[in-house]
Amino acid sequence: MDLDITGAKILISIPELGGFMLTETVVVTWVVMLVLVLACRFMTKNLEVHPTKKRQIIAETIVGAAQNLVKSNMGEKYLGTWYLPFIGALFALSAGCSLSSLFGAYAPTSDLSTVLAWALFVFALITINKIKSNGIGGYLKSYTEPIPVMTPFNIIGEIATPVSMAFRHFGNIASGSVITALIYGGLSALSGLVLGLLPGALGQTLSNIPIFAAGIPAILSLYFDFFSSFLQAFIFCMLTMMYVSDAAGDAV
Amino acid sequence: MEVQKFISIAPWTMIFQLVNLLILMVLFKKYLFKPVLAVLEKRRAEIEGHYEEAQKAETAAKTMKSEYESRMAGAREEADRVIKTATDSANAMSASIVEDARAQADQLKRRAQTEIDMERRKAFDEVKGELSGIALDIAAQVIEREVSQKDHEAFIDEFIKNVGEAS
Amino acid sequence: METSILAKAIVCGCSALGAGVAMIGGLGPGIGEGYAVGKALESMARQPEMKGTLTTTMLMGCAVAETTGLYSLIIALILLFVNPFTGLF
Repeated sequence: MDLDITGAKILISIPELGGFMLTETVVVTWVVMLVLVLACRFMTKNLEVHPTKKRQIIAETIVGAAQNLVKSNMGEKYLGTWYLPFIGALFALSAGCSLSSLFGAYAPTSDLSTVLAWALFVFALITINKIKSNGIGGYLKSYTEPIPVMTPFNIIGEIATPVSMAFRHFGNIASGSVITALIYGGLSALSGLVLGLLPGALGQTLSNIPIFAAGIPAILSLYFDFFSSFLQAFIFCMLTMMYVSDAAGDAV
Repeated sequence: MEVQKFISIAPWTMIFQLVNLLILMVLFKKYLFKPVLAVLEKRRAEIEGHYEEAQKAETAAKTMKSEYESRMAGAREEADRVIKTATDSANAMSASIVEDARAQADQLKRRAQTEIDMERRKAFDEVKGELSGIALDIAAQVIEREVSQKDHEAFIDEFIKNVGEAS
Repeated sequence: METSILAKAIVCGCSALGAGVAMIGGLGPGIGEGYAVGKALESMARQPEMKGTLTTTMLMGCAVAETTGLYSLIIALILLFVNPFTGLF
């Protein structure tokens, strides 16, 4: 039995072009995006002022939930800005990417590059907002507070924000997939071992089929894929909103 | 097929994923948030319109009611006034009628009195004239029996006296 | 040649040991999250009408508290699957 725990498959690789490569991660993300956008198109088709169709009510519920989330965590003034669709897209893409492992695809969020890119973007947003509200001098000065000796620690703390965000998301999803893979492999091996005890050709045949691996991983994947996906997406969005609104202060 | 390591950072994947996120943000804004928010805004405007309409109708009803009430009060006042004037005029009229009737009755009474008086005087005169004729006849008869003037006059006076008492 | 195989064996064994030791860090979040959930349950029993807010905040806090455990998990995974030391020999 070989159990490989590896990253994404590299589909196209052009090392001459600055190490360009198209990995499974990106392709699965495109599929997830396509599904999400098609779902949006379907839900918002023929919108009516007096809703009669269920899909419009679902769309309105989603929009209302996003608005509510942004309003309660960032404030009313952020409702009209790009933060609303950004948070929506972040949540949907994060959850959708994590859920893609339910369909047997590689989860793009279990690639560190994905979440690190998002976390770095959020970090850029935080920094921009901090500079906007305090001015560049105030931003640089905030590193030497409360005393100048603390500067290295402040810098480490600042860098820790995107790193911890990325590793938290990545760690949850990736560890889920690792544990699922380990249990799957373990159950396959167990079924091979147990059924191999059966005498004759029957045991020979059955031991090659991982019967034990049929049901049990599904229950685990209910936690690791379903619950954990939504929870991590939600936490990523919550942290983004909190950090950004904290950094912005009273200025938008 | 080549495979990345379990934990690896690929710059191109990072760029792709960030761009994917931003594209999805734009698409979400275009296909989900914008139309739904537009519909919600439309609904809000419609509800506000309904509300405004209702308020307008309410104020209209209120003004109508107050107008009606004031008109009712006016009408009642008017009716009171009309009744009062009618009563007054009726009273005045009845008084004048009674006065007229009394005056007429008085006049009638007076006229009747004068007529009666006249009638009486006339009758008296007539009777007096007749009596003169009768007296003349009697006188003629008496002359035949040679009655003196003195007797004659006394006789007439007595007669008239009798007649006057009788009448 | 012999030394190289021996060195690799030592590195692999020590990496596995290191991974196991790193996962001791999983204790902390376990204790912390258990404490947080217990406190949240207490609060919920006291104020059942705050259930929604408490659940959300508790999950948030748990996820944040999990971070240290995840760091140790990632170190363990690195040592097991992306071992940076095997290339040294």
